[in-house]
Amino acid sequence: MRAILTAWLFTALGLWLVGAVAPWVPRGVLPDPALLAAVALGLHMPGLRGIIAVWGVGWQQDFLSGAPLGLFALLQLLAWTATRLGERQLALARAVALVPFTAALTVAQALLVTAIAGGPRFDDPRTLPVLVLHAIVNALAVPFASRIFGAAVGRVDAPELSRSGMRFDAGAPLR
Amino acid sequence: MRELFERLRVPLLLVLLATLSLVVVASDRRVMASGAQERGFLPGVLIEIAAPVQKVLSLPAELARSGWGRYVALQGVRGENERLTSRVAALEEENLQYREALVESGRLQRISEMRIDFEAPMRPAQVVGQDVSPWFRSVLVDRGGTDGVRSGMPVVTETGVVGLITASSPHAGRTMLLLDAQSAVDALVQRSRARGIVRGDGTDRLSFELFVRGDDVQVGDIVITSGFGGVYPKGLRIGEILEVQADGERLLQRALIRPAVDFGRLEQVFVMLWRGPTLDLLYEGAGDTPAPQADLKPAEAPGS
Repeated sequence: MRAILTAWLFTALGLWLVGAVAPWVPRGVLPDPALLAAVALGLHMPGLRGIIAVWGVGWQQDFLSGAPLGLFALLQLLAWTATRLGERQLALARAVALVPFTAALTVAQALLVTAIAGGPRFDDPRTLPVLVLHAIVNALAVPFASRIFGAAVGRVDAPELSRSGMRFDAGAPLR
Repeated sequence: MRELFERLRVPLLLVLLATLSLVVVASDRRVMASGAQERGFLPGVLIEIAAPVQKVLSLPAELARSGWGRYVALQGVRGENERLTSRVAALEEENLQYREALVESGRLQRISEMRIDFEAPMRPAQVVGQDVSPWFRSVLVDRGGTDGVRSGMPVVTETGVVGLITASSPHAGRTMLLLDAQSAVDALVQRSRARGIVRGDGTDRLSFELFVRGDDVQVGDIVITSGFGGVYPKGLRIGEILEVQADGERLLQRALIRPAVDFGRLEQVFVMLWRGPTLDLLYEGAGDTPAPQADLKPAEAPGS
């Protein structure tokens, strides 16, 4: 539970930073903290905890945007699932795979936003530069976000895992 | 059986939460498509939580932006400034209405009896949150149902139209900006009376699609709300023509508008406590409480 709360706290901080800086910079320049969190959670938090954590991350983004409610909860769930599926197949632990994967995920999310909520209009020539920039920024930021999430979740998880491990392996010799 | 459940619980939860999210999106989309409505219970609770959270979250940025003195030494001046800005905004809108009345009386005197003018009180509101997604253009304001702010009410500043309240809870309101791709406003050129639709496309410019190809539109013309959409009152300033696009293949003539409002610097806005007849009809059907009718008063027809 503490790991989930930590993930939400980190995402909230990221969203706050983006929300605070957004009026002062061109659109697309800032990364999407929720997407980065979804990818990082896909890499570092599998299972039920990961799903619950990423769903909460999506809802945070829904609260703070003008999107129809539930849209980003759905999209970040899909991003987490795609990361889980791609983790082994694409060896996403390596930055060389993670960076283009995140760029592709950003584009896919923008397309889904358009399909579901009529978001960015791709027939407008001014949309493409924003999308490309946003994809590049997300891609460049994801290794750092993944490392930060990994360290934070790992640190919070360590005592929890050691307690449950000892309980589970009560009869087995400690290694 | 238990082993099977253990194996399937992750995909099952995934499908369950994805379906739940999709249901909420569909429900919310229906709400937005109808022009804007009060939120249902669950989304209302969520937006109600979001407002104070965002207010707290945006406090450091607000402090940095406004400076410490604004909160301590200049508290009284700030309050007075807000009152005066509110008054100026009201007078400017009134002035625009009078200018509109002058134009109308000159050119449309015969149908002036059809014109309904009004005065509406304005409620100042602080912008407490910006959209965190680059694909949506909205802000959260700190006024909601308890202040008389309802979905469907126009939001303005002293310089022009900001957008429309699309969702409200007791203490917060989500404002869809004119820039949002979902926004469309019936508008006209103040000088030539050429009519069209002003659309947002998610960028910092607005697109103006004129109904009649070859209508008289020039760079620098002021574009105002026409009032025909039944959503915004007539005569609110939208922006200024920046570029007229002469595209031979298009059926409609297009122009680019520079918005009158600086959306990058939105801090204080004014919610007009008025809701257009179109939206009022929608709300009546939905059993919604109507906008404060006592605040609306039909004006005298020009010349009468």
